[in-house]
Amino acid sequence: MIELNEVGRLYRKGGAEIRAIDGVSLSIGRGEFVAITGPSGSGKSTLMNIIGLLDRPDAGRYRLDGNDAGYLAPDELARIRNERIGFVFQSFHLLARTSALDNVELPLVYSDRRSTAGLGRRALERVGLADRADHSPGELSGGQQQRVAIARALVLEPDIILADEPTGNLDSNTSGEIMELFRRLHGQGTTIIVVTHDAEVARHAHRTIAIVDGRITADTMAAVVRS
Amino acid sequence: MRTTRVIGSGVRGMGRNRLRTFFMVLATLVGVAALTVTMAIGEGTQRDLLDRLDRMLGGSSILLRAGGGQMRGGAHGGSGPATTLTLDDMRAIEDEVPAVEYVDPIMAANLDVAHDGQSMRIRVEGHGEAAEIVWDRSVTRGAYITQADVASAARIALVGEVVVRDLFGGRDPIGAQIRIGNVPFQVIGVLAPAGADPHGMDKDNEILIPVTTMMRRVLNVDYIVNAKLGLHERADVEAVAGEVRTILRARHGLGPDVPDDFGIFTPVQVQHVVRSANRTFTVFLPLVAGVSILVACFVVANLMLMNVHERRTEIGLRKAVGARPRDIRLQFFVEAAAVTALGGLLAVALAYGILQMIALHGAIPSGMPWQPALVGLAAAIVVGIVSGVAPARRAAALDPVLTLR
Repeated sequence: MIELNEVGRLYRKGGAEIRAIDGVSLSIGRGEFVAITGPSGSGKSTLMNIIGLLDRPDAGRYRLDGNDAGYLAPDELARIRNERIGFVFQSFHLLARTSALDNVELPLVYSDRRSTAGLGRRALERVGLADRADHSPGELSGGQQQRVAIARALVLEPDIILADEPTGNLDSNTSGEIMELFRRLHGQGTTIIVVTHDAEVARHAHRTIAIVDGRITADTMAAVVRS
Repeated sequence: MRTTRVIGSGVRGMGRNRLRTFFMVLATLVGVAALTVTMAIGEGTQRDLLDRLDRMLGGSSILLRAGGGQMRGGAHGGSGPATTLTLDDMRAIEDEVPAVEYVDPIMAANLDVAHDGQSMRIRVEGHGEAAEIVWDRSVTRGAYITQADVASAARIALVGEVVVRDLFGGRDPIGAQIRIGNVPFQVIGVLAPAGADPHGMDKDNEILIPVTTMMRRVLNVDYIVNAKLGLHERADVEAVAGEVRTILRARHGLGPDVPDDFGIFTPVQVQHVVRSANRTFTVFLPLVAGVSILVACFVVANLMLMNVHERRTEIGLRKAVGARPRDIRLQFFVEAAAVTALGGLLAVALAYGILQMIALHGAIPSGMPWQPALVGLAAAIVVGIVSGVAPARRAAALDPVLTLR
């Protein structure tokens, strides 16, 4: 489903060229649970942005379900992000002074689907927060906020969830709960890609891709999958 | 519909930062209110001025003045003493120009007027009996002067309401004796109220006597300084003015190279003068108010840019969940438009409230023109569009990658 072929991304800072990622080739199939690990500055976030169609590669090719992302117009990229990809961020990025339900239903604003009634509530049920639908982020704990963000990512039932350091702002207990949630979602058929520098988090995934200085250094399937 | 949802999402965004929304509305409000108020005042005073002007010099009349030079006063470019216009000139005009129906010879001066021990300096105007028609002003009490009064240079006077108040203490002046200069007069009538003339003189603070009396008994002169000619309704005013000019030049023996020793003023000319004098109200003040609109634009644009910058994470997020660049543009554009529309409506309401208060104090005529309201609302829309476009485009062009880390 996700295919990167010799993908590279350059940033120009001042006069210098920084290769965020260079010559990255990988393939992720439907239904996988992948962790992309690496130290800070390794290029893992750039990789996630490219996979999530938020950024374009300068070199190489990125194919999503056989379609070359490089040839897609911004409007088309937006539509695919809306329909097929759900993002989860380290700092949740919920709209302040807005109810959980309204937050979860944000992607519906930009959807071309005709009937979107009830999708918001259903997503909140999947993450176990149906009873907090009218709470605003200020009234929710960190873990609950992230779960609302995950519900938002799930609301249009995308194929892929992309999570960038989803537990970075959470304590270890809550982190465990969130990763547990991801495992459950994966069990229900969603492809999950988590970007993290935390080995503990990576251990929940079935496959780990390590990236250092913009290049892939390892790509291993877990010997024993944590249950 | 998607556009509706996007707009709705944006409108809800306005409620999240009430203080900033408040400031944007306020900036628009002040700018538009200032513009509307000054435009309304300008229009009101201009219209009022033209009304009074029309009374002074309506469609079918001509004003004559002795002496050359422009009406505006100041430098008199013409030559010749201001003593060449006579009653005989007026009779000649009345006889020889068929289109002239009425002639009112005028001789005026500021004189000491005494009554019952009290003396005041009041403007005294000597007129012919046709003044009643030519100036469309009669008496509310008593009787007007007659042709016989003019022929006999009778010592009778008509007084204005302010004179009644000031010189007679509000008592009925009919039949009272007054002295103008040293000449005794009897008051036979009270002039109808007229307010201020286009020059700003209070027409109710005047005394009217027969022009012959003024010339012979009070000032001891044999010339007049002004005259007003009432023309037939369908007369060609400019053509008649030409005829009058020809007659006067002939009577005054002016050779071909000698300039006029009199001035002829037609309504068109006078309106032109008044309009240009009134430019303060109709051009200058709205220009200043226009600056305040400009300032409102800057303030709103600046606040919108701040808005966009502060919400860059939100914008990045919206893009991540599927917002197209045009969705973002629409959202922020609608925010700017809604804010300025609200500000504009409130401004017009406020402006008319202010205008009502000013009118109550009599500083401007009441009767609100509606055009300034439209201009005000249009200005608000302009503010919204101008201030909303750039920030909206900036928002749409934001790179979500940069804002979402």
